[in-house]
Amino acid sequence: MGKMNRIGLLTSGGDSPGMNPTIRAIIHEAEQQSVTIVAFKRGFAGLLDNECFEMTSKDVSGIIQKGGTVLLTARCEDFKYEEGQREGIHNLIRNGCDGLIVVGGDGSFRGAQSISGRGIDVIGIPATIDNDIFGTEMALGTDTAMNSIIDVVDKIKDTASSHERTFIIETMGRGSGYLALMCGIATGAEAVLIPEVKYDLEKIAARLKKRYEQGKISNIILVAEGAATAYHVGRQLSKIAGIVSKITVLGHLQRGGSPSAFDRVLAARLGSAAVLKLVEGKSGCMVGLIKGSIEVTSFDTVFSNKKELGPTLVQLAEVLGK
Amino acid sequence: MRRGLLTGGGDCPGLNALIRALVRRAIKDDRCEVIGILEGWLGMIEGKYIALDRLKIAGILHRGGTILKTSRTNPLKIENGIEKIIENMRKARIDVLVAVGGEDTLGIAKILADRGIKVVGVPKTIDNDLSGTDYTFGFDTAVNIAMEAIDRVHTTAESHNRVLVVEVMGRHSGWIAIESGIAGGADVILIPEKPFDVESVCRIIRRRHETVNDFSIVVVAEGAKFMVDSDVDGSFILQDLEKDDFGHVRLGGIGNILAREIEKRMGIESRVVILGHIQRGGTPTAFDRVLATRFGVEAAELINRGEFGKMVALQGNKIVGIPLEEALAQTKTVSEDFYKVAEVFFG
Repeated sequence: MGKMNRIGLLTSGGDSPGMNPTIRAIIHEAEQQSVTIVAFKRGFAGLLDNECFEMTSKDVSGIIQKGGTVLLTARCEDFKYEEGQREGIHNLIRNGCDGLIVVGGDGSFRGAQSISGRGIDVIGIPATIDNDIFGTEMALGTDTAMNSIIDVVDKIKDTASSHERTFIIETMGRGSGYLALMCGIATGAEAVLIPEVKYDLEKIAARLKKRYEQGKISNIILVAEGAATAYHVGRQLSKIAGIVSKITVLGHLQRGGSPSAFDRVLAARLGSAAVLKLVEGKSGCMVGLIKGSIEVTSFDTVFSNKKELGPTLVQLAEVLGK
Repeated sequence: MRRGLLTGGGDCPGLNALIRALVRRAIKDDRCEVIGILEGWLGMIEGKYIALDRLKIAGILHRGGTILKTSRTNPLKIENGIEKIIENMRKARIDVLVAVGGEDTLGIAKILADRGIKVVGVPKTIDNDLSGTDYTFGFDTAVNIAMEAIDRVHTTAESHNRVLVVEVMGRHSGWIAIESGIAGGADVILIPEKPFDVESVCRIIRRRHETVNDFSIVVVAEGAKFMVDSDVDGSFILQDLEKDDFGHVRLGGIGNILAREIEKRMGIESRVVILGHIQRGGTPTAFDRVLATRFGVEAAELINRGEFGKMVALQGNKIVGIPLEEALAQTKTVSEDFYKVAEVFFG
C-alpha cells in the first residue's frame, strides 16, 4: 500500500468535552505528516450525505478551550445497515480518502469497525463522559465531566449543611457507575448508588436515620442514572423511613464546558497518535491511555471486554461513605 | 497501632483530602488514633501535635493547603535532629509515622526507616517529578490553574498583537509547563529537559507571525535553561542565591529575560506573566481528591500489612506500595515522546 495522503475525520455519538482539542491535534499532526484531512459534519450522517470540507489549521484556531465539537455530531440509524456502510465507503473513496478517524464512543466504533478493512483503514479515538470503553483508562471528556459534577455537588453541600437537608443527585454514566462513584469519593458523599453494586435502600435509610440521631442531618447521595432515578430513590426513602429529600438531576450540564487540562493533554496525545498509527498502516483499532502511554487496542478486544470499576474503588467509596 | 501523620515541604492541593482519608480509615476499620504533627519535621522535633478526630477533618475535603501546616525544616541541619525525632515518637507513643512530602521529606523518612523506625511515605508534589508514581496529587490542580491563566492571556495577546510569556513552576522538570502548554494551546513550550536558544524561539514566532497569527504564547518552566553555547548568558536563572534548608535554590526569572530578548530581537511588544504561588492554592480537582483519598487508604493498608519503609504510588489504574529508595532514585522528567506531541503545535 502506498503512503496515506488523505484521511477522513468525523465526531459521532454524544458530544464530549475534549473533541475539539483532539480535532485540533489531528489537524496539526496531519499537516506535519503532509496528510490532508477531509472532515465530515454530523458524524456518520454527514458521511452518507457527503457533507465535507478540507480542514486546515486555520479552521482549528481558537477551539482548544471549547466544549462540544465544531464538526457537529449526530446518531445515525442508516449506518447500521450494509447499504449505508457501502454509501459511506463510496463517499470516502470519492474524496480520495484511504483512512478514517472516528471520535466517539462504543456505538460509533461499531460503525467504524463495519467499514474497516474494506479499502479504508479506520482508527477510533474514545470520547465519552461515561468512561465505559475498554482499552483506555480514561476516555476524553470524563475528567471534565467529573469536575463539572464536583463543582455542583460542592455548591449543593453548602445548602445541604445550612438547611440540614438530604440531597439526592443523579449523574449520567449510562450502564457505568464510574462518574457517580468517583465524584462520590471526591465530594465525600454519604452514599453512592451505582449499577455495578447491589444496593439496599432499607439499609441506606437505616444508616441515614442513625446519622439523624447523631445530629448529622445533611446528606448527599449520588445516584448513577444506570442504577436508578433520583426521584425513585427519593420516593423510596420517604416511604421507608419518612426521609424528606431534595432532588437534583444534573443532566446535560455534565457534557458541556471548557475541557480540563487533563482532557486537553489526552486529546493532543490521542489525536496525534491516531494520525501516526494510520500512517503506519494500523487499522480496526482504537488508541487509548494505558499505564501512562498511548497504546492501540483492536475493536474486537474493545467490544468483547467490559471495563470494570474494580473492587478496591467500590470498597473505598464504602469506607468513606460511612 | 497509634499513627503519627505529618506533611512537609511546599503545600499542595489534595493534602487535606489525604489527611481525611487516612483518619477516616483509621477510626472506622482499624480503630486506632491518629496524631497530627504540626509544621512537618519541625513539629516532630519540637513536639507540636494535635489529635485528629472526626471533628477535625469534617469539611476539609475540598480545601487546599494542609490543616497540619508545613515547613521546610531539615532535621539533618539540626543538632541531633534524627535522634530527637526518634525520641519524640517514643514519648508521644507514635508507633508508626506517615510522612507526606516530596523528595526531601521522603529522604528523611528513608533515613528513619533505615534506623528501624516504622515509616510509610506518601508522595506529594505539584511538580509531578517523583519516579515510581505515574502522578502525584496536586499536579492536576496546578496544571488546570496554569491552563486557565493561559486561556486568559490569549485574549490580551490576540487583541494587542503581543507575545506573552507565561512562566510556570515545576522546579527541574517540565511537567507543569508541557501539560499546561499543550492544554492551553501554547505556541512554544520551553522546559528544563530541552535547553534552548533564543534565536530558535524567535524563528518559530516569526514564522507563525508571517503565516497564521499576529500574536504568540510562550510557556516557560521556571527551571528551563539556555543552551550552553547560546548567546544569552547563564544556565539556571535564579531569583536570588539564597538556598533553603535542603540546599535548593529558588528558581524563577527566566520569563523576564526571555520576554526582553524576544522584544529586542523581533521588535514585537512582549509581556511576561509569572504565575508563582497561585499554582499551589485553591480547591483540588476531582482527580486530585480521588488520588489523595486512594493514597490515604492505601497507606493504612501498608501499615496493616506491616509493609514499612515503603511509599504509596499510582501505577496505571492501581495504587501500589514501592520501596522508598525506588521513588527517590531519580527525578522523573518529560520523555522525548511526550515532548514530540507538544512540538506538533509549535508555531
